[in-house]
Amino acid sequence: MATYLNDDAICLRVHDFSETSQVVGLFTRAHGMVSLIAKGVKRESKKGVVSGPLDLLTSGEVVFVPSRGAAELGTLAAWELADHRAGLRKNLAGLNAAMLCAEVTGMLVQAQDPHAELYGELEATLGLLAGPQRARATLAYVKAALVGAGYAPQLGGCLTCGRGLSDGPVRFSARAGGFVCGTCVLEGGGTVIQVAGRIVAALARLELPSVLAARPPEKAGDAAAQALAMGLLLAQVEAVTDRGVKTRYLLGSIFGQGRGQGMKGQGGEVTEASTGKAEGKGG
Amino acid sequence: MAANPHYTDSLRKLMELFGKLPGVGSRSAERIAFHLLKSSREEALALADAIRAVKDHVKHCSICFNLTEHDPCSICADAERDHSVICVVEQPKDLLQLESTNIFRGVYHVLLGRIAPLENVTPADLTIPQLLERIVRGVRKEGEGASTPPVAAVREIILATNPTMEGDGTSLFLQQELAYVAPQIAVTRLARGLPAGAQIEYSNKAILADALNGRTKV
Ligand SMILES: [Zn+2]
Ligand SMILES: [Zn+2]
Repeated sequence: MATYLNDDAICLRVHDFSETSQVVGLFTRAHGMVSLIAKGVKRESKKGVVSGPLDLLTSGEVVFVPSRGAAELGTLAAWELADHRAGLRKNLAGLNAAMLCAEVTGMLVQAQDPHAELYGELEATLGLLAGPQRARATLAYVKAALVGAGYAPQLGGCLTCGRGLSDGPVRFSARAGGFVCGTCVLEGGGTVIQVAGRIVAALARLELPSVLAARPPEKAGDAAAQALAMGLLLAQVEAVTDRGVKTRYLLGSIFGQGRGQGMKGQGGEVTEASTGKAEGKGG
Repeated sequence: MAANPHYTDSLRKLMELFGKLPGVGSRSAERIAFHLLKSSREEALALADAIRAVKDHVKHCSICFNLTEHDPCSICADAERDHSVICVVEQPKDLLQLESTNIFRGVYHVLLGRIAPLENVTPADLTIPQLLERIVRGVRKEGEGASTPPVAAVREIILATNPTMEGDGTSLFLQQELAYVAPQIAVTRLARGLPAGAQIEYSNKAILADALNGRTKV
């Protein structure tokens, strides 16, 4: 007999599989990433078992039959929608930030590798993204995802000499996984991003999204500095996964720099913040 | 199910092609192939001709991007319709569905998709630039040979993308762009919430929340 598992989940991927079925990628609290086939969910008359087709970024309670191997699909047995993100559906910058968080999660978390803490952080983040803490929460989440996956960049001091970073310019190497101060030589090559030491220090101090969510909202902060910090984190994500972040082009919108996701910024154009690997479309 | 090894190459090929069609399994593919084999030559070749005609003659309308055999399409060419109201949909299928209500007398714009950042689908991959250009110019593009008269300036844009996260995101993006390029235009969205015939007792609470938030004055 099939084993049914019950878990909380956030939907990070949806593909139409046939006229009536979907393949969904769910980030579950206790079972990590799972890919499931959801049969018949797009049929109008389906009642009870699944509350309609699954939608990106929504969360709910899932009942599923796990796959036998990591490469195979499990089967979705039931889905009870808990949060359909009403706020994000009315806030473009928040929705774009949520897309970025979803992509980074999918890149860093492997199938069947549980990350219960990170799951909680993503829930907390999605709750913050339609509000004034959007930029800070996005940054805090990507940092938490890197930490959770075991790829945290070294933010404490110079990789070579170990000294604390000054407020002046420092160099970040995603390949080396950290920074060197103004006087040291950066070994190893790869893409190097120059940034003010105070931005790195602020990033090091940044708390978890769940901590931000538990406090009354602070002032939004320096958007340009936050966008630069995000550029560093995304360069790190790209270096450890060897893949380009597709949602990079949304940084202008997420960090409130003008119209952002405008017509001109399309097609993987490098934004001010993404001085790292310039990934085009299909990267 | 593997095809019977005794089938000829051409028969197997035909079954294979039918099997690729949406909703057709290998068993149905086999049945259709045998049906064609039994039917008259004219009947069978009429299907082949119809497929060729569709591929040769059906194209996108240069104004609204609906599927058509004549450019502009019959809706865009219809002077009786209200060209100052444009209903924006994701796919030609959505247009047909809305047309079947017989309620809407304006014109359409088919985006040919929705913005999907996680799948590398950006606004520039859709017909959004053409929509904005259409609105800003407020004129029809010139048809082949003869120039068509300019249409009235656009008064209203109805956003009729799917109420999925990506459809809503596409709608939000359009709202942002429209506020920027044509702030004088009214922008509306299809109502959402409880479908007629639904029971509150059995409704999902997220859908109920939408219905409450989107309540209208009676
Ligand atoms: Zn140093
Ligand atoms: Zn047309």
